[in-house]
Amino acid sequence: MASGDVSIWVPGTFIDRVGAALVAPRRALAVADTEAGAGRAGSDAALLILLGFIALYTNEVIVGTWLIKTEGLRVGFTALAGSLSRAISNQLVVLFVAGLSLTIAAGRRRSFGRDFDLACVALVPYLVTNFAAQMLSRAFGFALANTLADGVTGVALAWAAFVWFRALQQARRRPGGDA
Amino acid sequence: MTAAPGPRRRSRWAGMMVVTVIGLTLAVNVVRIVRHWERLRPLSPGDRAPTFVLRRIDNGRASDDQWIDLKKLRGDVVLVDFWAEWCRPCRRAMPAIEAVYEKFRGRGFHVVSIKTDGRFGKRGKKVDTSTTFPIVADSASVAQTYKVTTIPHLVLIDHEGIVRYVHHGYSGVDSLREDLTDQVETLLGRRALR
Repeated sequence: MASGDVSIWVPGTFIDRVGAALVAPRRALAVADTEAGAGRAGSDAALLILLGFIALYTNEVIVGTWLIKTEGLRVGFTALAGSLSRAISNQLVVLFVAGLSLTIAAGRRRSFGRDFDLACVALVPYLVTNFAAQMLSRAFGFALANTLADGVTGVALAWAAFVWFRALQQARRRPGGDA
Repeated sequence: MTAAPGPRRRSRWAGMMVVTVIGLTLAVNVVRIVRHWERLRPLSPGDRAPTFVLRRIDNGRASDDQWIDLKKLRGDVVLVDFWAEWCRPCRRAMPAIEAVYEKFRGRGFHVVSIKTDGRFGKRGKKVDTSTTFPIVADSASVAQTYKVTTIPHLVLIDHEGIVRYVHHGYSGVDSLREDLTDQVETLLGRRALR
C-alpha cells in the first residue's frame, strides 16, 4: 500500500487506530508513517498499556492509592510503581526490540522516530493477545498453565512479527533516506 | 476518491471490541474488589493479625523442632518484620529493630523476622544478618496474607493479637528506632495494665 492510499480512509480516533492495527495493519502503518500521524501510535500504545494495567491490576491500583492515603506518597507510589514495572516490563522489551530491529533493517530509509511509531503499531496485537488471555484467565478464575501461557506468548509474538514485517515494508517504501 | 467502508467498519468494530473487553474486565474487577474488600484491603491498625507457624532459619540453620507459632506469643507484644536478602533498605533497617529488641527483650516483647525470598541467601549461601532475634522463612505465603506490597514492612501486634502499627519502607535507622521504641513502650504499658 502506497502512502498515498492513506487519503482513502484515515483512522482518526484511538478506537479506529487500535482496531486498524489489528485488522488493517497496512493502513494503520501507513497512517503512523505520515507526518500527521507521527507520535500517535506511541500515545495509543501507551494508553492501551495504561488501560490494560488499570483493568487487570485494579486491586494493585486501589491498594497503591490506599497506601498513598494512609502511609504517604512515597510508600504508595513505590507500591504502584512496582506493580506497573512488573506489569509492563515485557511489553517495553518487545517494543524496544521491535523498534531497534526495524530501524536497523530499514537501512538507508530509516527514520528513528517513525520506526518506533511503526513498532508501536506492531505492539498492539501483542498487547491485545496477552490482554485477552489474561482477561479470560481472571474472568473464569483459572491460572494459565505453562504450555498454554507459552502458546499465548507465541501467538502474540507471531502476530506482532507479522505486523513488524509489514512495518518494514512500509519503512522501505519511504522516499529517499534520512539516515 | 472513494471511501473504503470495509476496513473502516472492521477497524472500528475491532477497536470497540478491545475497549469493551477492557471496560468489562475493569467492571468485573471493581465489583469483585467491592464485594471482597475486607479480604483484599491492606492490613491496618485495628485488624486481627493473621496467625502463622514458620520454621526458624537463624544463620541458615533450619531445624524441624524450631518453629515460631504466632498464636503461642499471644499475651506478648510482637513485631513482625518482612524482608528479603536482596532488599538493601531491609538490611539497613535491621540495626534499628535489633536495638529495640535488645531494649525490650525479656519484658514480653518478641521480634519475628520473616525472610520472604526463601530459606537461603545468594547462590545458596547461608543467611547471616548478625542479629539476635529469630528469623523464619516464609514458606506459606504469610507475606500475601499480610498484604505485603513493599519491604521492609513492619507490623506491631499487641498482647491481644491486634495490629497496632504498620510501617512501610525505610526512612533512616534513628527515626525507625524512635518510632518503634515509642510504639512498643506504649503497647507494653497497656499490656502491664491488663
